[in-house]
Amino acid sequence: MQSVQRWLVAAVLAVLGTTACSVVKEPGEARGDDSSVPRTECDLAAGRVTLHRLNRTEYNNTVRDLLGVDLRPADRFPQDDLAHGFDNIAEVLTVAPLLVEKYDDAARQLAETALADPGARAKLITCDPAAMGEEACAREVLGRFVSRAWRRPITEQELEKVMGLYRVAVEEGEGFETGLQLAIHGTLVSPNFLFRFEEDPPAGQVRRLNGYELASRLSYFLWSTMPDDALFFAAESGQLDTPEGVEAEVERMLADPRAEAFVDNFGGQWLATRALERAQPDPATFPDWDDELREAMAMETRLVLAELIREGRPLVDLLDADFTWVNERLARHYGIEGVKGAEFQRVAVPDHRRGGILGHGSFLTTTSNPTRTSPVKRGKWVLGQLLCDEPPPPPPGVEGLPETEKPTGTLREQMVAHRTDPICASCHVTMDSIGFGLENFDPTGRYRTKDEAGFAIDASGELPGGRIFSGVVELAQTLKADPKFASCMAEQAMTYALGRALTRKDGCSIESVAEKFAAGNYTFEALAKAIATSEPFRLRAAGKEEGK
Amino acid sequence: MKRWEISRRTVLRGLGTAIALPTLEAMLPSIARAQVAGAKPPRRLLFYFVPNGIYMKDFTPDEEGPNYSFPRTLQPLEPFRNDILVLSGFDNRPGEDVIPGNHARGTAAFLTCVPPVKHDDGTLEVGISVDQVAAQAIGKETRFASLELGVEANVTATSCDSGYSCAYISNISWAGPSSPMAKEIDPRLVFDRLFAGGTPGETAEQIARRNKYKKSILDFVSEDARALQAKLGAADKQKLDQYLTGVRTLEQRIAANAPDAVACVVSDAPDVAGSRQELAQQMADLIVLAFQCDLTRVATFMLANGFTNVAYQFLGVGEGHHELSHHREQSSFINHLKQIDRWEVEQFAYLLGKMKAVQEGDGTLLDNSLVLFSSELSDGNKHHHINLPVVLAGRGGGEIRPGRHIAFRGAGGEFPIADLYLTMLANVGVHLETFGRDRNGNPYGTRTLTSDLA
Repeated sequence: MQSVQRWLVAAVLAVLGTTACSVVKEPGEARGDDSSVPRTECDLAAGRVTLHRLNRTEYNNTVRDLLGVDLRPADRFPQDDLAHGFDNIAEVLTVAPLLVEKYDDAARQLAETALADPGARAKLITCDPAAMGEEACAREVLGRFVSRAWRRPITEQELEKVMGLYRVAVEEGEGFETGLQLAIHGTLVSPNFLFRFEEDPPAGQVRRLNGYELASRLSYFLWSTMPDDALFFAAESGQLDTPEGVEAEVERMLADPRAEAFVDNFGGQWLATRALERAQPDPATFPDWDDELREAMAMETRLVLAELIREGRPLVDLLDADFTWVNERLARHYGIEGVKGAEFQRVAVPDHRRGGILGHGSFLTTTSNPTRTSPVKRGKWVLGQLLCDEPPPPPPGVEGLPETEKPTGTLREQMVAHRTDPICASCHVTMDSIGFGLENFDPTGRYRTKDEAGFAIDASGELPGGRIFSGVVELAQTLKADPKFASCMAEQAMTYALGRALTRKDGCSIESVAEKFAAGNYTFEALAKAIATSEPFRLRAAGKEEGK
Repeated sequence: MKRWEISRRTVLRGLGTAIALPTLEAMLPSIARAQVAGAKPPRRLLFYFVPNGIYMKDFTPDEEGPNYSFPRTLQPLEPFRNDILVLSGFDNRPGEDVIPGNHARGTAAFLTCVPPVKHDDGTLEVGISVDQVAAQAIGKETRFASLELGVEANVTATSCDSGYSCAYISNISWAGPSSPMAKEIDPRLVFDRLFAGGTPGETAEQIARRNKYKKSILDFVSEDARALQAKLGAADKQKLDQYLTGVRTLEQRIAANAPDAVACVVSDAPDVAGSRQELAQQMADLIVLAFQCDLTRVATFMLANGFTNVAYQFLGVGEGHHELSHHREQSSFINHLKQIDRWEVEQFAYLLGKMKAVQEGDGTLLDNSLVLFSSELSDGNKHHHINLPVVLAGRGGGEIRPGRHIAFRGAGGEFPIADLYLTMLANVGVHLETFGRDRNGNPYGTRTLTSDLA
């Protein structure tokens, strides 16, 4: 069964270079008639994100920026589930009773801490209750706080309801402090805080997001946190109503240190550095392996991606960069000389062997089994993560078939059935070729010329279209030349930015984002601007009818 | 022009666990509500999940009846011969399908007995699990309707099993078709949660005020949620429904006048676990404690997530568990797999030992419980969903008579594990006609087996 994503790639390629997008249009789909939205062939591109609750990272960052306290209460929350490779996919961010209980505990603790910590308190309480009157001051404090917490202006009635909580404490004779604490607590357990609300248009219609909704989308996309004052101001002033205004904000946001969150959260998941936490190379086979090396591998990939993003270099260089970042520990592992100390240094890798994600220990280790390499896992990862062309799972009955013969020969020889059986070959020829092209790297990413069993490595292969390569450097160049690589990066970033799976209806938008990405020399800034001004990012379609 | 420099702080948050010993041993016998006033002790249900199947040749006893000999993998349970039933021949066919994803489906169907659906957008669709059926019926009696515990963190990158949502392998407890009951994996957080609340020496007036505050906050947020619900589409409403269910759970906790848990324990929280084994045993201790103190009567436990490829290095097994389960009849793989199986059974035996050590009335906590041990598959190599490895421990308050190996297969017809779940539900007073549904949409479990097991 082909996934939508696979279909999508095929569709995008089919229409590449043409302007007609009829291929990706769903026939008979109801159309919106909101006249403020321009109609094109691609007019159903709005899409719809299910009510999006903050994930653990977003929650921690949001309360940090909202209250100025760094408690990280979400570290105690149950883990978020993953879909489409990311932990910010609204559809699977479910709300178990345990989570609501944790929200309540966290809010109580946050409210207490914010009022007790002098710095946080000063930021929060900007009036003098003795001079102004307690109730009036509470009203002023909460008016501003609730609006920031809920990421939009609040109504008079909403403020009244929050003040109702304040008054519960007053009625109990506990006054200003406890009243504020209760009100802050309630504000932070409210669904208005925990979820990113976007109002639905009437059935069958599409609406443009208002400035505040868009401000939240931008801030959670690039910063994994709530909007700052400048972004709120941009929302209020109408700046976000134009593509140019959105682009200006993107530029500003990328220059802000909070953009590091994108490297960690998007990069950490897309490029699998987070998966390193669970990597378990066999200690008997790899006595060298330890947490220092694990951490260094994660840091290398993070620093390389950060540099490409920050310095405005083409993101496609991820495959064949002429530099990397290592410390002494990782340099020793890689056989790079002249690097001393725990600090990371930028090193030139003129032969490119280590200068691209395919030579990073992070990728090579997380796609290996504990005792041996897995050309299949490596090939599958490259196809899925870098080309958005993950092969479908094996057909029924193939998985786990007993093989009574004891395997002998090289891995390549053992896996001969993958090439000779036509059913297996349809996927495995490409998958295994890529994996075998990386056999010069052992399960922890060390360079080698012989495999586990002592056979000489044959790292040659052929990709569809007669593209012959030998070894990691040629493989990386072959993949870089594949137009699917850049468009896949656009797709991955868009999935993360929207927090939902891409569907057939997004085909035109992906194509357009990929074109702008290419026209902007593949910089992240070009990609982020293209996504932030795309229709799926700025519009919202109505939900499915009740009962589907 | 970019102004920021990337910080050099630690990237991987999960690193660096200190080695320390659990201190739950120090806990004193409880003065639980469960034991006072000569009342009959309550009945409990516990579901103990192990992933990737079991190498069945070393699990299923050759003989039936009371005098069977324990195959190697089951041997750690021999001291509990008279406390357990080995039940062979149960199936969980709703986890079957012609497409890959057997671990995801098997794990999601484990306690739901409903075929899980793969949606491209990640939408979850399975059914309510047996523990949650019980929790919804008897959970109001206790401070926590149910507990969901495990030891393994969720997958943090790329996909899970063959395109199925990761939630299907990281949860076995489901409050509804798209509402997994997230589990706790940190014993210290479980401890805090079980025994939090209440400052020693608080006056009745102070407690009343605290509850009033709690209630006003919950009223406030419920009203908020309902106001928003009016503006939302169906899928969003479902999310808010989940939220409101959580809020109601908290409301009930205030209203239920929950027993004072603090009186039940005089010990420190567990320390950071140094190994999987310590972690598993700390969790077992906490489950026993929660039952003992009557904080809950229903619990689920995952000894690892479905489809896990964790390497049990402390057992001297370097390969990943899932990788090993596809042993292709190679003896080196099978031997390592059997080592893991046996370790899993040892952990289960540890739990049973703790339950048996708690006296309740004339019997033990184990006598007043039913504890199910099983996996999402039987043969992991071939992904079989039939002939599952099943051990049922405890006496269910006297209704169940352990001490035998009963082979259901061969007795004629199929034996859905859903029948066993109906039996377990009946034991805690929840009488359903059917449980789960097969791939044709028909009820999967349709009878109780109480008489067979009595």
